Amino acid sequence: MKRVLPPLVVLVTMLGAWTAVSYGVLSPRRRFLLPPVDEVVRVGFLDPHNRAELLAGLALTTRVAGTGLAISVVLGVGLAVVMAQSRLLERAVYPYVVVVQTIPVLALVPLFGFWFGFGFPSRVLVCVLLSLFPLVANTLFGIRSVPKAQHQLFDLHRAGRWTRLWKLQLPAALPALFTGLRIAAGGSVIGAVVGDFFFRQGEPGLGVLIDNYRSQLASARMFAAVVLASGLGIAVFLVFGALARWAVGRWHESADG
Amino acid sequence: MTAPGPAEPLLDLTGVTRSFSGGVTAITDVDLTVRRGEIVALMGPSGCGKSTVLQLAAGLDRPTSGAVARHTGRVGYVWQDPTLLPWRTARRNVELFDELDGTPKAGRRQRAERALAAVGLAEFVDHRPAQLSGGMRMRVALARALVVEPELFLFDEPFAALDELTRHELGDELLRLFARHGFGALFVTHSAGEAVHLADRVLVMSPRPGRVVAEVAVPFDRPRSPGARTSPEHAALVGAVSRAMVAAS
Repeated sequence: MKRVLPPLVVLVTMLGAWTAVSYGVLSPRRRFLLPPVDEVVRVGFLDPHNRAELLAGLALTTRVAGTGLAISVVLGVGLAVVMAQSRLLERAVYPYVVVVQTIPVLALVPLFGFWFGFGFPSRVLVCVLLSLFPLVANTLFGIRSVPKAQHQLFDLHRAGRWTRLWKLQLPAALPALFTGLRIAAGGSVIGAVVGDFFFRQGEPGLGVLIDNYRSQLASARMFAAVVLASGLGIAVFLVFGALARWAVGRWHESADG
Repeated sequence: MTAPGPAEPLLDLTGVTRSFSGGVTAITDVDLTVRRGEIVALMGPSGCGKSTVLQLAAGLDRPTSGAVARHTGRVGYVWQDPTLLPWRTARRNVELFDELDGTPKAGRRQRAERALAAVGLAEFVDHRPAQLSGGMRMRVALARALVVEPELFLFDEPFAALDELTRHELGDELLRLFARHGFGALFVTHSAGEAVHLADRVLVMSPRPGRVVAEVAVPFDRPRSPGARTSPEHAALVGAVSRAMVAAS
């Protein structure tokens, strides 16, 4: 109760302030700038047609973000493992991983449309670009942080590269990997929404809906879509936090919180 | 069991020098032998290359010149840090070497549990390192080394990070294991008392580059009781070792 109450008070305060501004500050003509909470709920979530449209958008955005994240996990952990095999490989590859992180990815996004079309694959690619770096960097850091003495245990019994990777480096990297996964999952959700602003073919995701509602001045539904997108981000954060606790919480303290 | 004549050597270092790139010479011209059924303590000032001697003895490092001859493949190594894998339970930690050596899966579990029981941890096989005290973690590390039935045991200040009471307990535990298994051991320590209580011979090294400059024989019979630590003979030998340390530095 002590954990839940303080943030709950803040939430109620914010909803109260929102309502006060909608009804008290904005005139009815300008109320579309911040539609009141009850209208967002009524129009966005209680109306069956609107609700179906929004939930379909949520489902598509979740699928795009999930696919992008899955690709990033395979690619990111794979790259980290490859780089961990030799300093030479790390020096060769790592600068480009950093480049992917430093360039303004959004500037490249319009290009993906030319190359890969304006549908699902391009949206997924945006997610991959926004989630790859934290996975590579954290996994590599985790693998590199294995203490020398633990390596000597494996030296003593002439363990091979793969045994060492499987029984020592990857388990040791798991806490860092999960930290990276949590950051990457958030990035992937952002990528899925942002990708929608550029790639509008096929079923609409939450980003497409937000943009459509904006152009129609359907602000209650737009706010409902924003709430769903935020909810997806929060849910992903909580799910991966719980996953980390389940996987490494029994032996690693960083999994708390 | 005092067989006539010296027992077979398990480890011979002959004229061993180890220099590192950058010009630092850790040890120079080290000669030492460890025989079956003896514990040899190795002492010396910090940075004199004691750990380097152990690394060479274990085959984890190679000498720049001189010869390291190990006459057994069954080597146990225990560090000051227990180096347990935190994600594994005590039992799974003890099973590690069997896994790495590819011994058949059947029997691994029993061997691990037997080794843990031998160090008094039968009740804690399913605990992870974070749930164990420092002394218990060191016991797990001992059990892990015991599983391969080492003939040559290398200790790198194994009990230095523990409180005195635990250090004495583990020292006596080590003496029990030694009495049962009769391995040969090279035991690096900073404590003259520990060296005298455990060892048959105490070797003293000079500051870097380290050489063996003195040897103090410990004539006490085995088994040695915990109370032997407070005997006047023990104190006299500790004094002799301390003097040799001072003379060496």
